[in-house]
Amino acid sequence: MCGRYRDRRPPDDGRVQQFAPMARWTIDDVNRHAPDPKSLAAARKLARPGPWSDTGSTDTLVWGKCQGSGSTPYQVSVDLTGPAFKCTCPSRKFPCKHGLALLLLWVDGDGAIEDVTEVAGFASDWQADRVERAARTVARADRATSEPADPEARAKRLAQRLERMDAGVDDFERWLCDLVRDGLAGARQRTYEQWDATAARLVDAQLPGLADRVRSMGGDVHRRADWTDHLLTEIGRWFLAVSAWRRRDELATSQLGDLRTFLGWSVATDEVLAGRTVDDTWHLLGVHRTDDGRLQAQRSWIRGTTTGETAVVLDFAAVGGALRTAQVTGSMIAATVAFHEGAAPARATFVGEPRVTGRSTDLPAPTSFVDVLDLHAGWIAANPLVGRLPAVVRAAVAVDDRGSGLLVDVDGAGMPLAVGVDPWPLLAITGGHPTDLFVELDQGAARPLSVVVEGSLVAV
Amino acid sequence: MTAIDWHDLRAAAVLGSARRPLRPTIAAGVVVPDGDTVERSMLTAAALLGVQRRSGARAVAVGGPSEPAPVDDRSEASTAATQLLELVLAGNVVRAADSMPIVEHWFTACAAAGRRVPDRSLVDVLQRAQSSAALRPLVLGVLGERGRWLARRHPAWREWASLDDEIPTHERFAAMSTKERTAALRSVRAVDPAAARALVASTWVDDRAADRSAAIGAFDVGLGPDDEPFLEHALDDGSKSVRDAAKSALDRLPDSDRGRRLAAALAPLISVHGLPTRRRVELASLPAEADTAALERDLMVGNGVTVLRSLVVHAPLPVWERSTGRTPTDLLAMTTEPPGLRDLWALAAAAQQDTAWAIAVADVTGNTAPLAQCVGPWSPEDTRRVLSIAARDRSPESRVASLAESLARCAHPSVVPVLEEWLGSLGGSPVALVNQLRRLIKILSTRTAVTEAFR
Repeated sequence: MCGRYRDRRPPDDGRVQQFAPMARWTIDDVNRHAPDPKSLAAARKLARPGPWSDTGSTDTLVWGKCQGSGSTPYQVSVDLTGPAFKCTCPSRKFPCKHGLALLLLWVDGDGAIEDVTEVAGFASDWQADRVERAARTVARADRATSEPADPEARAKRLAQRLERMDAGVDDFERWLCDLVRDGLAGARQRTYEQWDATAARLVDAQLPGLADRVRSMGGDVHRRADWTDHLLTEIGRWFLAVSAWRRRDELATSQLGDLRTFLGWSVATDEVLAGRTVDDTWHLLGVHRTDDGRLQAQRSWIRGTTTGETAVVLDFAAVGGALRTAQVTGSMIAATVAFHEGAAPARATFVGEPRVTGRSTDLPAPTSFVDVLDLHAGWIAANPLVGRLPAVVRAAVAVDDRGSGLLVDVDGAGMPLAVGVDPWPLLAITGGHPTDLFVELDQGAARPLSVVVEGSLVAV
Repeated sequence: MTAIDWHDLRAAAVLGSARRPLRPTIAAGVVVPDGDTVERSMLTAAALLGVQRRSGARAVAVGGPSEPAPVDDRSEASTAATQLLELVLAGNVVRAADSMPIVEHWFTACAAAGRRVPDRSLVDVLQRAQSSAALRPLVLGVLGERGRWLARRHPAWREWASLDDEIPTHERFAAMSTKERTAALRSVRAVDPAAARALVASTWVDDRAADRSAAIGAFDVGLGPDDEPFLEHALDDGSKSVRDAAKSALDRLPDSDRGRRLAAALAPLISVHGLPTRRRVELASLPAEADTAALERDLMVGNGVTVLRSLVVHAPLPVWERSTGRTPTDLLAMTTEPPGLRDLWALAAAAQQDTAWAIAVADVTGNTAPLAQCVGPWSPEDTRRVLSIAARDRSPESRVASLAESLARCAHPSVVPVLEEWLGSLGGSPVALVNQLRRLIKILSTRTAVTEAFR
């Protein structure tokens, strides 16, 4: 190895070229990286500062957070030397529209990536676009109500549906009775396929709400330490729904609404829009989003600042599609809201396009668990079928000796965190100090969706 | 009339009505309709009692909340710095395997700026430190009150971050396991090496050899001239593993007494001969009257030949330049007597982590092993020399690949334009080299971005 290469010299200077990626990109450079024209079109729509926050760039890297339809913004970064794209969105396109949009914004955003204070022009475009969409939605709703489908065909379809549901409820009742006769211990021996088969029959009978509950029970009986209590409570609730369905003619409209929600018989949008509506500024308390690989589902809890009424807005979309309610937790939303039939806290739908008027940094009327559970007892009495319920509590996040998380309120009353909630990030941001949290309570456990830390409301 | 409660119902339902039929007539104070089947009665009771149970749910008293986190007097790292950290930890900037030098730089810069890890990043940082023991002393320096409070509550993090005070008492230290002691020493050394030495001294005479050598191993963190007396003392230890650990640490303190003793023994043996165009560097044998016993203690070797070899490897390398008035590159280019001297210099450059010699060895002989041992940081000129050595290698891609780690760790960020120029001149191939250079540019420019974010 002794000095054999000593006479070799670095490559001749004449061949040295300017290294292209370090120069500022052009729009054409970005266009070349689009997987297809559709992605590029989607990216162009996102290439404005509105959805972006925490943006920045170095010589080799551009990054930012893009508010998509969920509570957590997508984290996007582009490495200019590759270029390589990273994005936390579930899109299978590569690069996805967020990466392209970020580059477009960086290339042609009039300095928006460096200096996010100059967004007024873009933001107003965004606003105008949303207003236009709102107008379209209302027009669609008007058409729907003014041109009802053929009433005869409608009645026929309804009769068919009721027939299928009746048969499905009868079948399900026999299944419940068999379960009780054979004993709950036997239920634990059943395979997932057996639970799924029952769920599939319920889907065929147009009872998808029940089907979901039966399907998840297949896992719960193995996962949960309190599975006997849980299963017995659930089959009691299922039987309650069966009995209520048999006597549906005697139910009040609100009770029938709750039953339909439980069974999964959705109400047509035009029917909801024709029902009770409330005009208010709504405080978006918290958002929960799930994604089963095919479908994204989102529930957004809102509370009227004038009425104090709490409601939940549900949104569904195919994975990769856009959910309609894409507001940031803490948003104050001026909107007309149409309530579904049912006891409080009812499901609600925005009439037209909601307009964000500001952001709140806190949560309204935090209380202790005693008060929360009293309130919930009233709600459960009004609707025994109800599942998860919302609450604003003032409590400290804590972990026990085994590392399980719990909330401890000012009276020293504790509530475990729901299965799957990681207590450590919550503990880190709250430091174990009493904090206002928005939580969903379900089956004796809490799922925090937002928390007030250092004067701002943060999505969990 | 049979009024039943939840427990009666559950007991019957678990067994099943076929084996234990139960016909409730009153459940939750409500009359269960008569004339139904046993199963329907039980289901009705389940519905009634279930609602009663749910609406009657009470939160469990768990006593007062535990002690909340104390107030931090240091403020959090800036938003820009935090975003960079999040991106790097998430593997969004460089591959996870490449992120170490950037992450280390972030923590060092954060500590130097008197800032701490922001609350929202604590979990990510603690998880990273959990999987990388080398990061822990750096992390402990920037956790702040909130981070330490959090780590003490976690079953895994508390093992290495559970010090109740930053510096444990001697009694507590004495009661720790070897693993705990090493963790404690490394974290204390990061802030106060003297206090760490005092801890080691407090248990030294009673410790087993394994504990003593582990304790000396922790001197890696914040090694400095003040450590010399203790290490010198450890050279006389009864255990070879302790002596080896002390020797290895002292090798990296060339200005120590031991270093001077070795240099003094070596200097008279060095000479340069021959015509200006054909110089030859010679190393004489140890004179008969040399105090080999003292050398054997410093070097921990036995017979004469090995002592001489070992002396070259462990005596501070600058003695060669002082004795001959020539640069390392000049010396390496000469013929040597004995012939194996170059290999010994390479070993010395690696053991002493001497950048100038490591570069010269690579420059003249092509052996880059000593460079790979460097801890840096390298000056801009040193970095440029390393790059030009790699560039003129017959296989620059394998040379850069073998130096990838030390380049990422030690290279000065100001060489990014040099790398870009090189990259531009390649025109896209060989692909392996292009990728290595891009990767290095990315690492270095991110390091610069981190530095700027803390300015």
